[in-house]
Amino acid sequence: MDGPGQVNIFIFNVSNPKPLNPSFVNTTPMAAAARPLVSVQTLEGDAAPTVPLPDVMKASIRPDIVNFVHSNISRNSRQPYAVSKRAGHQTSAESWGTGRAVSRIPRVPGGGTHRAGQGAFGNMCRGGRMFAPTKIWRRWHRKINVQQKRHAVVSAIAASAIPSLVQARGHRIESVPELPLVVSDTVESVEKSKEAVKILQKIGAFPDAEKAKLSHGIRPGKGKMRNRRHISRKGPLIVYGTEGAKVVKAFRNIPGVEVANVDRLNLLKLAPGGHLGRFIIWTKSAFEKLDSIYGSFHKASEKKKGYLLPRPRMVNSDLARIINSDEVQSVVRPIKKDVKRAPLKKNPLTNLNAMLKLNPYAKTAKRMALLAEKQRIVAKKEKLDKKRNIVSKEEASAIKSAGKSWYQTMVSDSDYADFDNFSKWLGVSQ
Amino acid sequence: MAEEDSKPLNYISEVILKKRKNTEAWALRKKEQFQQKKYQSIKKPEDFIHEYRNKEVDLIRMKRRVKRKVPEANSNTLIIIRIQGKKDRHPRTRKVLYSLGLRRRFSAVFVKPSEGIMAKLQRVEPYVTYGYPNLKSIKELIYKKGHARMEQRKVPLTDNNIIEQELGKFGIVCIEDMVHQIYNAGPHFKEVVRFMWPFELNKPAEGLKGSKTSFKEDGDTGNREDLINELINKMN
Repeated sequence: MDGPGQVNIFIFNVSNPKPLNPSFVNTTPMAAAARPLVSVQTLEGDAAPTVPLPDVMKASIRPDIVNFVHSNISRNSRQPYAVSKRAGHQTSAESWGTGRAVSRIPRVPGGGTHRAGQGAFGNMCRGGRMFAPTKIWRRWHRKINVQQKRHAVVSAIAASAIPSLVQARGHRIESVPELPLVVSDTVESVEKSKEAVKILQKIGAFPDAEKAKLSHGIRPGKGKMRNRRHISRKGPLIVYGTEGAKVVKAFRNIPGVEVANVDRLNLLKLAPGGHLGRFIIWTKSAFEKLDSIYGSFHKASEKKKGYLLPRPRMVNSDLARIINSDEVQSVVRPIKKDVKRAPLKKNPLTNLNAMLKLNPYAKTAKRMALLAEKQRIVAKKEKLDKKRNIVSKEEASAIKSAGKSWYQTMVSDSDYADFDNFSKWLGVSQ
Repeated sequence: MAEEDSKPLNYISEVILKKRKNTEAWALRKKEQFQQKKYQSIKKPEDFIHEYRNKEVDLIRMKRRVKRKVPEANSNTLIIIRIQGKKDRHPRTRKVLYSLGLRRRFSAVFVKPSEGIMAKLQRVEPYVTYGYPNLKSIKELIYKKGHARMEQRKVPLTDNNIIEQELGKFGIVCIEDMVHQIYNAGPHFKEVVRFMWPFELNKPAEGLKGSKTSFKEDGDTGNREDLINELINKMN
């Protein structure tokens, strides 16, 4: 818990900081064989030499680690403070007790002054003691793992090589020819601030320093009366490689400009406020030392024992690009467009086409069965006709005419000609 | 009187009405079964004890049955149909059923009645029924329910090319050759039976009582001789 007190850390917020675009994080590709080259900016008109880009510039960027380590490092400069343990107790006040129509708070003894009879000791009294007076035995400082600190510094250095992040932090780098910006070693022998300003103007870094100068202002809040009265922006950071170089005195009094040795890079300068993307100006000797100081992805550092640069879990986190790349698409099996499904099984006993596929003779057998059936019907009919004794047409007509004549004979016999024979037959006697 | 236009009466076909009635009856029965099933979702310890005892009794009966005389068959070909046996048979019985190819209820296979086969049938008699198939039954079964076994896959016999590829080296090129081999128990009977997947028949609407008694004693199992063809006709 940060209470009020004298903290000698000057932490300036970046004006309108833009949020880090997630696509920038972990998108630095790792060069396989050849390392890209960086031009060294010369102050005269000579041909520009080149130096290889150190591997530390390609490390993965971890804003979470940088923010965490920065918060804990900035706590380690705190000094203990607390209220006096005697504050509010330097009186012999006693309560008047009950019966006097006043509260039972301890009251200052004596008479003749307004002080006499006033409340004392309590935290609600004027001149009283604060509630739970603060003590100096607090947890002021923080332990930070060495590996974590190194990862944070490496992350900050890698972020300073990305123009988008540097611009997002608020630095003016429009007229800078290249990032990371490397200048020749003649800068390290500059002694005059006037010459230093000329150098900044020549390499295009002066607008950033000017912005820092123009941003000088008075701090809002109580920090004004706590030895933190003025605020201003951060400008470029000069990193030199030679011990005892005169460049320190030349640049350090320019507003906004800070100087650091490459062997002792401070996270509070590389990422002020825990925000990545500080504008760094490297000298050639400092730039060439980065490889031996921080090592590479496969070779340990020479100065920091056993330190290897952190490798991202995915070299390229753009998954859609990986899938659609030529290397992946050339080995992927083409799309199966023809879906092969089992043929529908028909019942051959009821479906004639299915039967013919299996047994072509079924057609012949069926036809023979039909013919045999027809033949059987005809044979049966003949057999029945034979049993029924069918007569021919001539015989039928003869039978018909005979029937007719017999009918006429029966009709004409109604006269009863032989009545006597008939009566004899009846047996009637007259 | 003014004559009206003579329109045919709009009616629903009797077949559709019958089908609708059957569907509704089936839905009601299904719903009732589901409600009963929900109540009986937990298996009781008595059920476990009952099941284990049935298996033990099954083994004892099999051992007794084995001491009897091996039954005989008076036919070139037998068809064996498994009609029951899911939870109450001993693992040894299951092994015999599996060796005959009868892994499911109402599955059927053709066999040549050798002494070994008859001994196996004696062991699993309460769970199978068998008999002497005629040409019509064999033909209809193979045409309608015939499937080939190709690389442990069940391929329907929809084309003679399937048969020619597998059995062409034995001179069997079409489905009629298969029928011939099975009906006459020809020299390549074994290859043909191995080539075919066991038949999966339908549950007969009637004809089975769920009994384990022999068919000769008015049960379901055992040798049916020629009457197996009626059962096949119902189950095809």
